[in-house]
Amino acid sequence: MFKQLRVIPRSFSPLRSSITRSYHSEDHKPFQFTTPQTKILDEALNLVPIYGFQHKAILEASRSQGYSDAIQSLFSNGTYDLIHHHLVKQRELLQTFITTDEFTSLKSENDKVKFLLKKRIMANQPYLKHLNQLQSYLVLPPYFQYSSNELHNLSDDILHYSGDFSNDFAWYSKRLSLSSTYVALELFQSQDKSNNSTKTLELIDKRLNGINELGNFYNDAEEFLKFSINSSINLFKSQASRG
Amino acid sequence: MSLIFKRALATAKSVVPPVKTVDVLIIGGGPAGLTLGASLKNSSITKDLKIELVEGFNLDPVKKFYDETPEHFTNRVVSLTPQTINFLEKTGSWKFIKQDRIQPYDSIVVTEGLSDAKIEFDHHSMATMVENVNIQSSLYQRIKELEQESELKSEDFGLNLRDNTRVEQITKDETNQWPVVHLSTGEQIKTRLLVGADGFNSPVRKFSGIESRGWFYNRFGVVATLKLEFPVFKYAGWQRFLPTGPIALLPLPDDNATLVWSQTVENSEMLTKIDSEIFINLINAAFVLEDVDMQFYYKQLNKGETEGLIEDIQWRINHATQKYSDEQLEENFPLKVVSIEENSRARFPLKLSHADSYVSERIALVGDAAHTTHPLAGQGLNMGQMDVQSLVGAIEKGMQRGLDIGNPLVLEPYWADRYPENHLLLGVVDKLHKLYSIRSEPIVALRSFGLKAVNSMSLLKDFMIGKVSGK
Repeated sequence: MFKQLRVIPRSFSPLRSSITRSYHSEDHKPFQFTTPQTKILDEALNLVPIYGFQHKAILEASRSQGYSDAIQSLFSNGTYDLIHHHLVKQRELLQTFITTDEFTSLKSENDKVKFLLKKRIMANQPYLKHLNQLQSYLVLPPYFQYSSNELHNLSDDILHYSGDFSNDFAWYSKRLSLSSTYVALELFQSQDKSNNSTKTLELIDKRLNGINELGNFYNDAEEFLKFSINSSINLFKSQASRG
Repeated sequence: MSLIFKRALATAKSVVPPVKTVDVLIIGGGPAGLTLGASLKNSSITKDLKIELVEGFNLDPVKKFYDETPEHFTNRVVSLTPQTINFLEKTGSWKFIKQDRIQPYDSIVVTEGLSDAKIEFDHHSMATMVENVNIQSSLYQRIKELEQESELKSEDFGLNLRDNTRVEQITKDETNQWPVVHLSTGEQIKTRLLVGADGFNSPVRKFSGIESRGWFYNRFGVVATLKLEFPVFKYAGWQRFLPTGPIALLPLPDDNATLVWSQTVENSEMLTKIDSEIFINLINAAFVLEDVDMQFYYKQLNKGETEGLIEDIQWRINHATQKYSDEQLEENFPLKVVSIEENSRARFPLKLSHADSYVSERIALVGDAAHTTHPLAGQGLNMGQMDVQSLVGAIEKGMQRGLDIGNPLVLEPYWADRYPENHLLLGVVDKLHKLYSIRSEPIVALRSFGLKAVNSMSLLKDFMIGKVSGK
C-alpha cells in the first residue's frame, strides 16, 4: 500500500536536485507536476502579472502551448484552479530551501520557521498587485474548504521542516497559530507599500515570538496538569490518612 | 590472657564507632529546625525527649547575634504573619527578638507595570519584617534559657546543637529499622524520629524516597538591603508586578528597607554585578517607569553600555512623576532609594515544589524540605512555622496516648493538617506569578479591572488579609 519515499518528479525544473520529502502519507497525495494541466497552469502563473488571477491567464497560456480552447474543460473550477496551483507550487518549493547552508546553519526552531515564512512571503512578490484578488477568491464559500486545507498544509510543512516533532496538544496549537499568523501576514503584505515588502518581513519577526510563547504556554500547561493531578491524589491520601 | 583481652576490646572499639541514640534528630538549623527544637523542649509533654539538632553551616553568627548585634541589616529578611508571631510567643522565643531591628507594617500597596491599576491592603500590623538571623538567634536564646530553667547539666538537658556538621549518609538500623544518620564527624546517630528541616535539596527527603514535584520559574530573586532618602513616616510594603516578575520594597526600621526583585536569569546576574549607583537608580525606575523603558535599560546593561544611563533614568523618572502633587507621590510610589548596603546583593533561583507526603515511617519533613514557593506573597517561612506548630501538636498527642513518636499513626495527622493548606497557598502564589508574567493586552486589561474591583470591595480585601495574616 505505502509508496516509497516520494521523489519530486525530475521534470519539475526547480527541484532537479531530486530532494526526498522527509515524510510521506497516503492522505497527502503527491502533487503531479507533469500533467498537461500543470504545464498550462505553470505558464499561466507567468502571465498572472499581466492578466491578474483571471481566466484569461489560463486561456492565453493554453493557446501559447498550442492547445485548442476546448482544453479549458480541464479546469472545472476555473480561476480557482490557477490560484490553488500557485499555493501548492509555492509550498512545495519551500523544500528547495531546507537543504541550503543558510537554512541548516540556523539553530533554533523559531529561526527556521521565520526563515521559511519569509521565503514563502517573498514568493508572493511577483503577484503583489493581484494579492487582494487572490485572497478574495480564497474565502469564497465553494473554495474555502480547499483554501483552509492548503493553508494548514503550509503551516504543517513549515513547522515540520523546522524540526517541530511535538506529538501532543502543542501540535495543534502551533499549527493553528502559524496559520492565523500567515493569513495576517499576507493581508498585511497586500497593503504593504514599502519596498520589497520590508515592513511585512519585520512583522514576521514580531509575530513569531508570539507563537513561541504559545508553545511554551502549552508545555507549562501540561506540566501544571500533571502536577495538579498528582497533588489531588496526595490531597486525597493526606485526608484519607485521618482514618 | 589479659593481654589478649585488652587487644580484643581495642579492636572492637575502632571498628564500630559508638552509635548515639536519640528520640528526635532534626537536620537543619534554620528557623524551622530551631523552632521545632525549642517548642518541643518548651512543651510540658515533650520536654523530656532527647533531641539532637545538626546544622551544616556555622551557627556562630546566630549565637553571637543577641549579645553582639551587628550594626548593619543582613539581606535575608522575611515577613512574619501575626499567626507566626503568636506561635513564637507561645514558644517563648519572641521576647529574645531584637525589637529595634524588626518593623511591623500596616499596609501593602500593590501596583502593576503594564497599567495603572492599584490595590492597597490596609490592616493594623498586618505583618512584621524580621531578619532571618534575628529569628534564629531568638530561638537559640530561648533554648539556652530553657536549659537554665531545667537546672539540669547540659548533657542531661537533652537538646544538643551541633553546627559545621554535615549529613554524609542515612541508613537503616538492621535490627529495628530506625534511621541511622552518619555525620561528617564520623559519628552515627540512631533516632526514633528523623525530621528533615534541611531545605529544598533535603537529604532526609531523598533518603525517605518521598517524591517532590514542581518546577523552576526560570526566575531568580535578587535581594539587597537599602537605605531610603528619609526615615519612613508611613510604614508600608510596596510591590509592583512587572512582566519579568514582581519587585518588592519592604520597610525596616528608620530609613532602611529590604528588596526582593524577581528577575529573568540573565537580568538577575547583571543586577548583582552592575555598579551600585546604577542598581539604585534601576530600583527607583522599576517602581515608576513603564515596562518598555525597563526593557530598554536591561538591553543596554546586558550589552554593557552604561554611558548616560543614570541621567536618562533620572530624567525619565522626573518626567513621569512631575504630573503628581507631593501628596499623590507619597500615596503612589515608595520613597527613593539612595544607597545600598555593601555586599548585600545576592540572588537565588525561584521554584515551586511540593513533596507527595510529609511523613513516612520515622520521618517527617517540615518547611522548605516539604514545599518551596515564590516569594511574592512572603509566605515561605510562615508556612514552615505552621508546619512546626502542627507537627509539635501531633507529637504531643502521640505521647499522651503512649504511642511511639516515629509511628506513622502519630505523624499522619500533621500531614493531613498541613497538606491542604500549603497546597492552596502554593497554588494561589503560582497563579499570581503566571497571571502577571503575561503581556497580552486583553489579559492586562482584564486583570487591571479585577485588581481595581477588588480594591473597591473592602469586605473581600479584609477576607484576603485575614487569610494571609491568619487572623
